[in-house]
Amino acid sequence: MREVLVLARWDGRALLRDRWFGVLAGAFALLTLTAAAAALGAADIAGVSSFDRVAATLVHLAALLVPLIGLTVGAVWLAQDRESGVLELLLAQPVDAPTVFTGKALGVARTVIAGLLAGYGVAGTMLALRVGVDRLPAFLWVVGLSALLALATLAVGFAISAGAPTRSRALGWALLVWLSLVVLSDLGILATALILRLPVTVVLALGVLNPVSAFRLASILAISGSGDLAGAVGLYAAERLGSGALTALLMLVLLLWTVAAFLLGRLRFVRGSVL
Amino acid sequence: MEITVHDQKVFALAAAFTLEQARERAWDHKTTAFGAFSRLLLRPRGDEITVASIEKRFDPLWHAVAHKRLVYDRGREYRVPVADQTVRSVTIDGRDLRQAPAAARALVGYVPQVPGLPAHASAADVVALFQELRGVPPDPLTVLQEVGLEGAAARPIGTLSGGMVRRLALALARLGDPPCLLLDEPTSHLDREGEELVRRWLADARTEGRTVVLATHHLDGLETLVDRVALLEEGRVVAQTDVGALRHRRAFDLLVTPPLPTDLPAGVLPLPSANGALRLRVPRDVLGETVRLLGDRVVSVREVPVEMLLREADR
Repeated sequence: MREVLVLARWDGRALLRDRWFGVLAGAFALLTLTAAAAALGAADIAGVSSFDRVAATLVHLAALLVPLIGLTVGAVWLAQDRESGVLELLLAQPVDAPTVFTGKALGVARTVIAGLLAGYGVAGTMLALRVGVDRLPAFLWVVGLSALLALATLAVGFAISAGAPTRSRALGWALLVWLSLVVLSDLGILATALILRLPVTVVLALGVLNPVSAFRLASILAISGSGDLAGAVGLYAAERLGSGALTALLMLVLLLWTVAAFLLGRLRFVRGSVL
Repeated sequence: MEITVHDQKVFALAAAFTLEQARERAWDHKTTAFGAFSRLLLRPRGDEITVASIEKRFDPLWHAVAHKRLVYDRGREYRVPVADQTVRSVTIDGRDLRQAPAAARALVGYVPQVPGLPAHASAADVVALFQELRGVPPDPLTVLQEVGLEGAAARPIGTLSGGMVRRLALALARLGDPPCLLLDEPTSHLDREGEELVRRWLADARTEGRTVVLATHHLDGLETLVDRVALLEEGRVVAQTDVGALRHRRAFDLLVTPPLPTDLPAGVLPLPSANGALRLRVPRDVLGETVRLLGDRVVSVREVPVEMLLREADR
């Protein structure tokens, strides 16, 4: 356990020096700030409050950027160490492969979450000053769900990285997965549902099994308190399960992605280490 | 210390494959690599592959298919890797590297040929990390002083020279005083002072009874540092001997013009030669006497490479 914490501390600090993470985290903070400022600038329209506009903007922004950060940072992390020989030297020390994997994953997760909180903190402060703190719990829900999404995608990134021989190959796979989760999945589910005339429960399952969709749906439920704004699938699911149960289910989906991808990545990493 | 490697089959000898077998094997690799898309590939024609020569890191046949411009020696015997990972177990001082990796690794200090150290971290931070992993109280400055890097403690490793990185890697390998040192080309990139430092450390390690496994291409001067020498080719030991036997065989090859005197010192052997000159194998202890005897008939004197002596000693 001591070695896990030592490595987590080291990798957490190392990520702060990483240029790629710096660019992504900086872009996230800048975009959240810009989005919040732009959304607050307009008057309330058709019953949609300033807070709702800002929160909805942040949710859509996070649905794009958080998986990109999690997947690419995670995928690159072990692969670049393997490519540069750092991993070889590290695995010659008195630590076993699962310890190295766990320590590195924890360290990176800590810094990525800290980066997200910093990004949201700017927007949250602006929101509190301009709109007040009445809707703060809903905002914190979105932040918490973003952290869960970050963990899930980071774990998937580490699972990619665990078996990737080079940084460039790992990055390629990460971008492909990102594209699949963020863009292609919704279109794919729509097309599949239309062509195969899938039952609504299957469509719902396909929708919520995607961690990005699960995050989006859970966040909209947290902001609006109902499934009215969550599209047809969300509305159906909220009516069928109730908002609370649906939120719990969606959080469970994100947690399962995190745990399953982490375990898979650890297995790949251990198998990939010759001895 | 005893280091045991069981069933190391990194390369399995497969003598004299026929061209047809080679082609089949290459095709298998190709279809495996492309998976479901392999149906789209055209099966190679007979003259597209010739049997491969020895290649260390690739399956030579797959390489041959992937790079058809390469022409391999059809008649030559070659080796085929049987799998990526075939070392079943390694034990160090009775501790199995697979069953108890941390305990086994604690016994070994390792310097790879190209030390992979994080470029953005400082030398002091890296030493502190490795000290913590080895359960040694963090004191990076003392360690860096031992290798003359105290002035570079705060510098990122990416800004250090090759020799400085090598010194740092050597310092890391000694953390926690491991009873076994595994050093791959420990003196490469080092200046004379650094080489002296390494030689001193190795001598100390020998005195203290540590096991040092040293991989190097610089074979000269080895007899002062090690007890036993092995020659590796393609990851396999092809010759090995005690340093005492090697020292005993140290010799020089002399190129001389005929005629040869009849009273050459004992141990001097004539060797096959060309161009009318004569070659003599002269043991080191009679070199002076032989050269004096031959006088200006000596054209050249060349020390016999350790590698050659090692092969001969093993035979």
